Amino acid sequence: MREITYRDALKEAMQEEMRRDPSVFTMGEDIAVYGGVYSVTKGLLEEFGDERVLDTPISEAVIAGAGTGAAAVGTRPVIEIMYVDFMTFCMDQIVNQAAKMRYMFGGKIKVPLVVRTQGGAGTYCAAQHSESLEAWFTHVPGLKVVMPATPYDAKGLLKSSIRDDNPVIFIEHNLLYNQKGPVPEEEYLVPLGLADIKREGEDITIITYSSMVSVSLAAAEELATAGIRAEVIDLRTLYPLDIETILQSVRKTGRVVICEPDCKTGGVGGEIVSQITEYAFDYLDAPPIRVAGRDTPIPYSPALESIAVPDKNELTKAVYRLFGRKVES
Amino acid sequence: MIQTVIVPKFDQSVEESTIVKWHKQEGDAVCKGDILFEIETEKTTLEIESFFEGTLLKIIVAEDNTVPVMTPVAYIGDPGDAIPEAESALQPASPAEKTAPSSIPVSAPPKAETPASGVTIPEPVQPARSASDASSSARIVSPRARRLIRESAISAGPIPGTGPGGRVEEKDVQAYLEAKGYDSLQITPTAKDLARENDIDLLALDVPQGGEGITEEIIQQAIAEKPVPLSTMRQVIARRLTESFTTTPHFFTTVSVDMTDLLSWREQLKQEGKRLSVTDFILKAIASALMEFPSLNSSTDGLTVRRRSRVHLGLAVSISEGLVVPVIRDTQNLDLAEIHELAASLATRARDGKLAPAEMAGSTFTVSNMGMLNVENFTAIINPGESAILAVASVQAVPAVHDRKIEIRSMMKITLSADHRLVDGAMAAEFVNHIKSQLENLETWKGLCGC
Repeated sequence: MREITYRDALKEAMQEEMRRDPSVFTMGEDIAVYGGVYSVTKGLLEEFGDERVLDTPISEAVIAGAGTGAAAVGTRPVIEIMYVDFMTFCMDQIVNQAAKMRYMFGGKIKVPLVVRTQGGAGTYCAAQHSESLEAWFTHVPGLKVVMPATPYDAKGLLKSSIRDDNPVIFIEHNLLYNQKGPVPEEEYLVPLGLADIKREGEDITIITYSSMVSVSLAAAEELATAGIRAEVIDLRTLYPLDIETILQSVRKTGRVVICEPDCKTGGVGGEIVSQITEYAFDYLDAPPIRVAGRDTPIPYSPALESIAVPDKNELTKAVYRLFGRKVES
Repeated sequence: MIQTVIVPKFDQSVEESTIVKWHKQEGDAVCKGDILFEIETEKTTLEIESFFEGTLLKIIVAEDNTVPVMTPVAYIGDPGDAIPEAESALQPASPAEKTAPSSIPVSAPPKAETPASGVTIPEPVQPARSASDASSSARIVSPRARRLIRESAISAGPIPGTGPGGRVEEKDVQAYLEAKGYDSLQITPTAKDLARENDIDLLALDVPQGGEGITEEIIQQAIAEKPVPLSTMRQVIARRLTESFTTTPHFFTTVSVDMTDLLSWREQLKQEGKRLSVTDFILKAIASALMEFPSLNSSTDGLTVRRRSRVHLGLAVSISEGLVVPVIRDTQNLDLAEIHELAASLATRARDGKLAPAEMAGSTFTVSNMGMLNVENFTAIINPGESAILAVASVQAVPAVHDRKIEIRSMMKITLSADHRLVDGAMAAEFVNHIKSQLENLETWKGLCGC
């Protein structure tokens, strides 16, 4: 199978959906003429014209508000918010309007809005351009939250998000854009709300998503040499959560660690651990733990930034401790 | 007007009570003096009467819950009266109704430890324990291991844990089952289900050699033999007597009392319509002996001695649930007829379970009488807070020396158990012989009775 980058996979998804459905359009800061800061939308203006590929003023509130309104009256907007950190400007439009509109109108309208954005630490962009804010959005009823980790999933999930009749927060990771992976030429979809077992194992379940998937797979590889067979579950969609796949795995392994890039307190992992203890308590051989980002703004200093989010070493050590193995501190 | 029913504090020493039975149900009409409910304390079971008139609107504390005294347990008022909200929150979490955790300390489930605030990052593993810790009762069994233990119908007790901090994990249970040859157990599915439902350890069964393996019958037997908690009363007896026997240096002094003359005189009194029991004479003899031997009417903690100037005689009475000790106060001031009346009434009410807690408190010396049980001799354990107890055995017709001749006499052995910290052998001997000579000297009694 051919291999393409995460960036190109996203672009293909946009192109295919815009060709398939004339009501799909996209807008955002510097996405048309410049092609987007991470070049995901490069070339779309040429193919689809300036009525379907729009540059906007530097106002995230306007982008989110206009996108919500456009979705409510029958189009399928894909809006781009350059950094997830800037979503703070869009919270009223997204939380109070987009997420609730369909419910408050008794289902008489729908809001098929996709908010494409990207975030995460690792690019030396400092505290205002590096956050992982996904847990904010999983907390809002009415929103779906998608965070792909591979080119294949990025394409399939973006296409499903565009076709979904509900607002979807689609969070890409800036470290992944150049990563290559197999993507079929023929069309396919990845359904929302379905996790993917990226590696099978019998001894421990590592639950992860986005940039932490490759970290977890590398850790699993190392753990295998120490005789610990780790199963790696890529959530892909944070809401709705595929709890069935999680529980099935935990029932098998009896041990679970969540590896997440966001801050530990109030993060995505807390909810997952909670559901595991609620529904699979009797299958646990050890306390479920989280290997998560520190409760701190992301530091600008590269040395500090690298320890603000989990890495392979931290994850493997946590797993060794769960098995009662000695770990050098 | 709505009235709150509380668990009364009828004795300074009683801290909590268990509601064992409600005599009235919600909606029932209640008159002043009606029996509302029964409580069991460490000492007794009591029926609680209503002080109020009206309708029993709400029962807050259901049967089988233990609550501190003075806790509101019900409301009485007129139908339609509003139940106070704040008070109804006092309802304890009983298995039948799932309510919010109550503020009643004795019934509330233990609170899980909450982690410290987000300042520190707690280590995800338990602190290291030594191997001996791991085998102690405080060790940890993972939920998954518990599940396998439950499903296999075995007990966690003997399984060694090899997880972090000695935690018993699934693999430990599997290894244990293999080592014990669990897979080769012969057991019917019904028997296994039965064992699982009743927490029977399949690996700890008493299976007959050469039988048909583990049958339902063997499980039923194990269920019947499962330890059950002692009643509150037996637990109190166990605690108090263990404390006394292990902390008080007991010694025992026995004498034989020739009861022949006293018994025939008692028979004579009976003909005249005066009914007295052997116990009455014994109690009277003890009371007067104690006035002469104050050390035996005292108590000590090993450092100080507390001498009592009055004699409150405890009378051990066997009842179906165990043993109670009603107290005859100021026995030194009572004559035989008064003692007879009091002793009989206390014993009857003790057997009917009608004694008030105050009637069982404050004794200074105790008598245990097994006279009616045909025993030659026995020793008793000192009631805590006292320095001696007298064990009275049965009167038996035996050959004995009387007036330098061997005759068949009615002999009764009495044995004093005394606290050696306070009482020495000579004093014990004098004391029991004082009682003996009183019981044997008819003239004393005739004088006492004015006959």
